[in-house]
Amino acid sequence: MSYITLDTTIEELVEQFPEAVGFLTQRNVRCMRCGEPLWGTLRELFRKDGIMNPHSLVDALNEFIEEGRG
Amino acid sequence: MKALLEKLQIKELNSGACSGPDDWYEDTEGPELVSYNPADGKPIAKIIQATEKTFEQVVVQATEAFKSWRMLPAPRRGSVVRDLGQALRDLKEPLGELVTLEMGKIKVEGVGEVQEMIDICDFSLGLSRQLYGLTIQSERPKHRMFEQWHPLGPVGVITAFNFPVAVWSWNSAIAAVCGDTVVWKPSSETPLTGVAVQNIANRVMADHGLKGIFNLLIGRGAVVGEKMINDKRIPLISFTGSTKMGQRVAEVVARRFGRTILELGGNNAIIVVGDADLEMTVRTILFGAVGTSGQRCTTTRRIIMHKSIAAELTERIIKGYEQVPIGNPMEEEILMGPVVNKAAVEDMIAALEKAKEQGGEIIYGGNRLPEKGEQFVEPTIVKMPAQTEIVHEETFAPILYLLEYENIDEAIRLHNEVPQGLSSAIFTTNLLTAEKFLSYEGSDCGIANVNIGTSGAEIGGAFGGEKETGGGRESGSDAWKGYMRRQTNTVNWSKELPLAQGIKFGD
Repeated sequence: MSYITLDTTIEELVEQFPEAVGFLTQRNVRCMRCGEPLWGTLRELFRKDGIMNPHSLVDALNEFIEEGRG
Repeated sequence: MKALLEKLQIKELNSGACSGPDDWYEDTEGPELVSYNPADGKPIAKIIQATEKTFEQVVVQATEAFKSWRMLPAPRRGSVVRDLGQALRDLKEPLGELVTLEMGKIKVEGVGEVQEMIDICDFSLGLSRQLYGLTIQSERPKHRMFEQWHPLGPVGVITAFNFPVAVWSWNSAIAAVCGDTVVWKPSSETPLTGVAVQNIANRVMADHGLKGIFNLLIGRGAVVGEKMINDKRIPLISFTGSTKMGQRVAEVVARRFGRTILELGGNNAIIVVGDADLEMTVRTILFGAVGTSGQRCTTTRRIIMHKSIAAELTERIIKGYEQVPIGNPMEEEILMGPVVNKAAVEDMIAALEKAKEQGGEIIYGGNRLPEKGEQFVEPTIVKMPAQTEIVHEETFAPILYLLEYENIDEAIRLHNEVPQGLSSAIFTTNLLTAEKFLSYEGSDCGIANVNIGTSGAEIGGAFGGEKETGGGRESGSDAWKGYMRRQTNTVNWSKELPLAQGIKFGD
């Protein structure tokens, strides 16, 4: 099941799936700064952070969320 | 809790867009936002967030109100801000408690934040009679040159969760006496303090027969924030938040030739010299690193200490940390509450993992405190072998990195090596070392202190920093100039038309 897509806003992601923050930080994608989510979508964030394979990262993130929530 | 919310006129479901006492706007299509108490995770109340439609209603009101507000003499605008200060005095305790309830800082800090609002209202009242312009000697005979400061327009104020009410007042009290109206987007983490402050401002506006001076828009950054920074009717955006968001705000606003005041990230250090008073130093470090659970822009994040006192200072800091009571921030004996949200916990834990990967050793803390609640963590001390990549980053959590140095030049180099430049301090009893730190070869920050810490600024000084902190200045000193437009005037009271630089043109 896909919880998250590239068009998910970071504000929605942080609100609904806070565990995603640590997962992404470990992969050098910081979606929280100064305790607040960045504005914009995951697609925009990945582009700025130079992520070459955004679709695979979103798939891995969904897998991580699904495993964590059983 | 119910009584507290009633005192501040907060309902179970609140509108997130307002221009005055009778101008709360609701769009049923606006998504609901729930505000949670970070200490226990329970919901406090809900907001109907602003939409494109209500954004437009608010901005139209703010733009219209500006036309008449700018025509009032500044001292009369000052009297409105004086009454705002009085209204805040009347509700200082409940508003401070709401700050604590909604974002988790301890109660004395919450109430202290409201005191800061009152202080800036007092400052602004005086300022309303001091918006001085220079007179300039003209090179032409019988000519008078001078400059005036005029109101700018509706000012967009975007604030962060960590000072949910004080930063609004730093901007709004000053902007109001300058003749500007204010459109405020508070953090989505602290919407209820936004509603409470708007209710207070509404009462003051009603007493003066005004509306549209202080306006509120609660909504997502991707919706309300983006609209605000793109809107040409808002000539100035004052943004408090992260460096990364500040870059976005600066780019968008510059593209339309608007102005910005940016108060962005900090990575504040204290240099502790071998001759420092260690007792004072430790007390300062505790307040600076643990206060507000490490979530101030000015939080002490790095200690750069001389090798000769490193072992003793480390031991004393750890002893201090062991005595910090952690828990419900409403309780008087507590010194550290929760962090703002679950994501902030994850962010902290991820940063600590990186610190360990980069050679750091956690010598105190490092753990979640689930028995206290999902958003409680231990204040953490990490001894670093060098100032690695993670130390260059600002993690908004109670993490303190310890570094050692051998000579003062090395200390200053380490101090200035990070990309941020907000606040800084040195602890020393040597006058020459202190002066060097404050000099042009010393700290590169907007704030540099001697024998006091990096946090806890007074409103009388200009607040802000250099480099990736953004360069903006808010609050005291001459920060008011950022909220006005400067006009240079020349009046010829002769019957000749001499040109500057002695130019003859068709004579």
